[in-house]
Amino acid sequence: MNVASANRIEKIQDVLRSLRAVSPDIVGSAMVSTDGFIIASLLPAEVDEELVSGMAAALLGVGERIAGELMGGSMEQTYVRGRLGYVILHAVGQEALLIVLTTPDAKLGLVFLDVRRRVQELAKIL
Amino acid sequence: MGLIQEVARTNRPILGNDIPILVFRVFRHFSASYVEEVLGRGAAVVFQNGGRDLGREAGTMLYKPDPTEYLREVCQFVRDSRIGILEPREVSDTRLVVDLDECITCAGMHSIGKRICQFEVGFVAGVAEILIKKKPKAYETKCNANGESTCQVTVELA
Repeated sequence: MNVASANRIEKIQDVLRSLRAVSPDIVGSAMVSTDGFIIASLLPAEVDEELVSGMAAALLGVGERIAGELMGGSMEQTYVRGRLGYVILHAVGQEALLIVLTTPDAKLGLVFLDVRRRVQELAKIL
Repeated sequence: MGLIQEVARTNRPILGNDIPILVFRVFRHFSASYVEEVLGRGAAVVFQNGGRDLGREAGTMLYKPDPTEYLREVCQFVRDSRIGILEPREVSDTRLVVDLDECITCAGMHSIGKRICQFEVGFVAGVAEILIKKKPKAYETKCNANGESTCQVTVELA
């Protein structure tokens, strides 16, 4: 990996760290490319990152398709509510997406706001 | 038991084990077409990762510590399985480029204006992963279905 790439990944990692620091409801995050590769990650250690990045890219695709088919528009965000919390996927430009994990009682409005802000920062870094 | 060994068990005493390539292709292209309709651009990841799993499993079975010998084994396997004729075009520390002539998925098809062999891309990437012991990026740099004369996979090794 060259120095420029390493610097970029470090910057992305910083954004992910700041996202986690801003809200105790955010328990993990990762940025993955739309072709299913992890770019940077602060996901819990037990998570299979390769599998998750593939699933996230597929889910992004489903989100885009369903937004297009049902609403005739483009997708901005997809989220999944589980018993143990939320998984939020947010597109970062055309090439990447941000995955955010939250606690089950997260204040989603605030989380979405923080996510949107960080997405803008990440898009600039990319 | 790996998936290859699992699906290798057959019981077709009347119909036998060989099928025309057309049958393989309609199964492959109809499923790919629907998956693409549902997953959009996410479909490519699904097919490529499926191919990676197969490449890793095949690569583990064929593994030789010497990279040249390993690559030769893989090429022979691909040929014996009639997946295609795999020809290394560039092998370096940073890149592996292979042509896949007579590709099982698309050789001879009319051009549809796009590259479609994501599964084969994943297969080559999975085979390479066994050698370099990390997940490499890979992409299709030529495809019969795109009007090019062969299928070609480029793997970034570093």
